[in-house]
This record gives sequence, C-alpha cells and structure tokens, in this order.
Amino acid sequence: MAAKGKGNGKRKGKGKGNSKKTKSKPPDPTSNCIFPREIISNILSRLPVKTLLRFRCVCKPWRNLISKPNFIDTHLHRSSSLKPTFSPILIHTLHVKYTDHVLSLVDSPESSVTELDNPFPFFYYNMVVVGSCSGIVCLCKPPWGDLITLWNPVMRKFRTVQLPKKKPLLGVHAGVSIGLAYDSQENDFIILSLFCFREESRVPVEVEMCSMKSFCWKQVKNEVGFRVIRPCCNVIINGVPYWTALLEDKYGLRDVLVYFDVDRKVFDKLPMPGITVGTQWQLVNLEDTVGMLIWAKTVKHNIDVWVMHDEDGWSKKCTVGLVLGFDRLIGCLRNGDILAEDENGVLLLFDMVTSSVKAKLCIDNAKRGSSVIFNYSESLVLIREMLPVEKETARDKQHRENLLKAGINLKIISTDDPQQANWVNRIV
Amino acid sequence: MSSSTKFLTLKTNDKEEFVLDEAIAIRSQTIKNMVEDDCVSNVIPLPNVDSKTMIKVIEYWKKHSEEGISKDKLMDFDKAFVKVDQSILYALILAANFLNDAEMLDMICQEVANRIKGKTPEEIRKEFNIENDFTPEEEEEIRNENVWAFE
Repeated sequence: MAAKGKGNGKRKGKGKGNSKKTKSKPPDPTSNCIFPREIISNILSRLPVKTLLRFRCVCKPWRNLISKPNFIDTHLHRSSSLKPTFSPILIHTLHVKYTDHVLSLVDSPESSVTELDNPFPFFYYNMVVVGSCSGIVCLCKPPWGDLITLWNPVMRKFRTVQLPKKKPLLGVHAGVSIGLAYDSQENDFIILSLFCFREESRVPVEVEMCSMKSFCWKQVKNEVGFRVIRPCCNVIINGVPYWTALLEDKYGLRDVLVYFDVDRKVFDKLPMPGITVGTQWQLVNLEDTVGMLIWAKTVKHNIDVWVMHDEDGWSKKCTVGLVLGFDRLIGCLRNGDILAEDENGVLLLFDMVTSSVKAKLCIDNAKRGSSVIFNYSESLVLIREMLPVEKETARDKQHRENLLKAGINLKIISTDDPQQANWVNRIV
Repeated sequence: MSSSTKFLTLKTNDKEEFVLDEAIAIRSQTIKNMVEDDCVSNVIPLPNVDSKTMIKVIEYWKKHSEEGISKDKLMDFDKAFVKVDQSILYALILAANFLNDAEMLDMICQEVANRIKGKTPEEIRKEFNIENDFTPEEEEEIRNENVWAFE
C-alpha cells in the first residue's frame, strides 16, 4: 500500500509542470497520506458532523468523500449505534418569558446543553416535535398538522413539506396527527398524516403518506380501523412510528398500539400492557424495542419499566426506585437512562439499574415542567431542497419586543389562519 | 481440543519471530485465510509489521482471547491499550489493517477520531501528510458554507 502511494507521489511531482495541457487527472493530494483511503474513511466516519464540515476543506478527495452516500450511511450507522453509557438527547422546552419554543441538544456525557437554531417560525405558539430518525427531526403545528418541517439540526438545514391536497374539515375532523418513518431499504423518509375525526363520530382515522423521494401524497388503507387522539406519534423506534390508539370492533372498544410497517407500507396493531387507574404512563424506546414507563401519580419514587417482546408480548423488566424521588418524570432514553425534573426545574439523568444520578442538565430560561425529550443521532443526511436555517437574528428579537410593547398577545394571534400570520408580519 | 493445539510462527519485517497459538493468531483474518487455504509453511512472514508493533498486537489478541474475561475488564484494557504515543497508534492501525482484524482496527480508528476531533484542517493536513489542493478562493467558499463549524 505504502509503496504504491510513494510511486504516485513521484509521478505527480513530474506531472505538475505540464499539467496545463495534459489530459491526465489532477494529482492526488492524498498520495503521500500516512494512511490508505479505507482507513481515512473509517476514521472520518467516527467524527461529529461539525468536525466533518470543517474537514471538508482539508482537500478535494476529503470533501468528496464526506458527501458520498455510502459514507453518509456508514457515518449514520456509527452515530446511531446504541451506546450503553450515553444517548444523545434533543430537548424541547418553552421559554420562561416568551412563547418561544427552545430546542436544545445534549450530545455527549461531558458536554453541556447547546441551544439549536430552530427553523420553525418564532411567532407560532403551537409547535410539536414529532420525533427524530436518522438525524432528521420532524416538527409541525397542531392541531391540523400544518407546516410540517424536516430539519437536520447539526447540518443546520431544513425544508417544509407541502400538505396533502385533502384538507381536514372543521366540524368533521378533530385534528391531524403526524408521524415520521424511515425506510432504510429505500433510504427514504415518509411523513404520515392521520386525519382524526371528532371523538363522537367514532370513525377510524384516514391516512395519507408522503415519501421524501417523490413528494407525492397517497392514501394508506386503515385496515386496523383505529382512532388516534394526539397531534403526533408517541415514539419512533428504528424508523417506525408508534401511536397509542383506540380500536372499536366486534369485541368492543379498547386501547391498542399501532405502528406503521415501513416495509409493507401498512398499519398493524399490538396490545397495550395493563395500566391501572391512578397511574401515569409513557411509551418509550428502550434499547430499540417498544417499552413503557408506568408510575403512580402520587408516590413519586418508583417507576415500573415494561418491555414488549415479539413472542411473549409485554413483560415487566424492572422497577426503578429513585431514592430522591422526582417532581416530574420526563421519560427515558434509548440506553435506559431516566430523565426526571426536580422541584427546582433541574433535569436529572438517572441510571436505570443503579438509580444513581449520572448528570444534571440545566436549560437556560426554560419554563418549568415544559421539557419533552427525544432520542436523536446526528447525521449528514439531507433531503432534497433543504435550505440553511437562519440564525435567530436580532431583528426577530426586535420584532417580538415590538409586538409585546404593542400589547399584542402572541398566544391569541397564533391561530391556524395563515392570513393572521401574515397580518402579524405586517404589523411588525 | 487442547490436545491438538497448533502453533504458528509469525515473522515480522525486522526478522523477529513470534510463536503463537493458532487459535489466537486467527483473530487476524489475513492469517486465518492463509491457514484455511493451507498455504502456511513453517513461518508466516508479516512484511508490513515490525516487532515492536507486533508485541502490542499479540498483547491485545491474548487479552481478548482470555476465557471468561468480563466486559468491564476488557473495556478497561482497551482504554489503557490505546493510551500510547501517536506513532505507535498509527503503526497499530496499519498493522490491524494488514492483519485484517476489524475489531482492533475499529477501536484504534475510534481513538484517532477522538484525538483529531477538535483539530483545524491545517493541523490535519500536517498530521496526515495531505496536500491542500484548493485555491484560497475555493477554500474560503467552503468555509463560508458552514462558518459555524470553524468557530
């Protein structure tokens, strides 16, 4: 390997002089590199995205390598592999003073919380994080699933997705629930839009899906016949979105879990574990399988952890006893770490096995009780026609100050009416 | 099983010979292929590996072949194993690559990645001996595409 490299280097030296007229390829700037190409690729695929963006200007072969689909895949594969010691966290909080949504990232056990530049329009009070897979985060605006935004936070690029032609009807539909799926076979993201009818009508949801390759919406049959009453999927595990849903059939009405089978492009159902009255629960991704945290509303010390196995169904994995107790349980991460909020609004990261505090996270200006967490793995993955996210400029902040001074309550203005949104812009 | 323990002799490029249990040596895919293809005579030459590096490689192979060793102990071993001078680390990468031991190669590549994470493009070019084939204008353009990555 090394000998070959040297040979190329010498030839290149000679070639330089007459390079103007020649047909030959430009000299390879990595011909004297201490490592062969495959090792360079191996090393680079383990670096954070920010470092890779910087290393794009080392030389042309590196720049090309970093944008190759194969390399992007390998990098994603490594960055999303489950590590027992730490899982990166995307945290959604509300600003303590304004109506702003703050999105932050904790990407290593040592690093502090980094606030991200959010591509979502700052003046909308309603925003939910649908979830994240393969480094892409999906945001939208409830209750009608407007402004579906796909965003790669570390690449600082985003795009919005055109809505289906079919529109929800006031008085008929209760809302639209959004889900994000990733088809690893096709390397494609899929947006799911579930049209939910009003509760009393007891009509199953109607589903539309949109592939990020074609950008065309098409209908998906709801053969399960389920209903959903939340603005987005509960959790995304391995690119598959799960919803807690209601199913009413000849056996009666019951809670079920539904998921979008990405390979077959259909919905399927799973049973729910038994949940007793007086408890709270949350559907979670536990080591890339479906899990559920169940805890009593009153005694805030113990959390039951349930997991779903293909053959055996639900079984209780363990009970976590947090000696200190918690004010509010936020959820758990892929690696099993539990995140809870104490009475001062500080987020505590607990080890599921030992119950010891692994880290304390403090988010500036976060409203107490507003934190929602998501598993996140950074990637170089981009979707067609993504645009750079503008830094929230001083101009935007000035806009908000002006609005507040004018006594305009953003919570009221931020209706679902785009005309009113325009109107806000015009006032400013 | 152990009654038929076979030994292989590995000869590094500085003419040192290492006698090693075959079961351990075939952690190297390269050696394994040679053994399976039956093209092993008495001594296996390793033209791309020197003895200093081979001692480290064998230390790693032996530890990772210990029966019943706990995951925690292996993790501690690996951590200490990569705490070496850059020159040794780089020699280990080339050896792991030649011997085709994916597990060891991945571990060392990860260590190199950790070490270069915060470096500038100039530092990387110097360290890896890469020429800059961008014109100043081209380089400036790339920098401007992602200014924050250079902050």
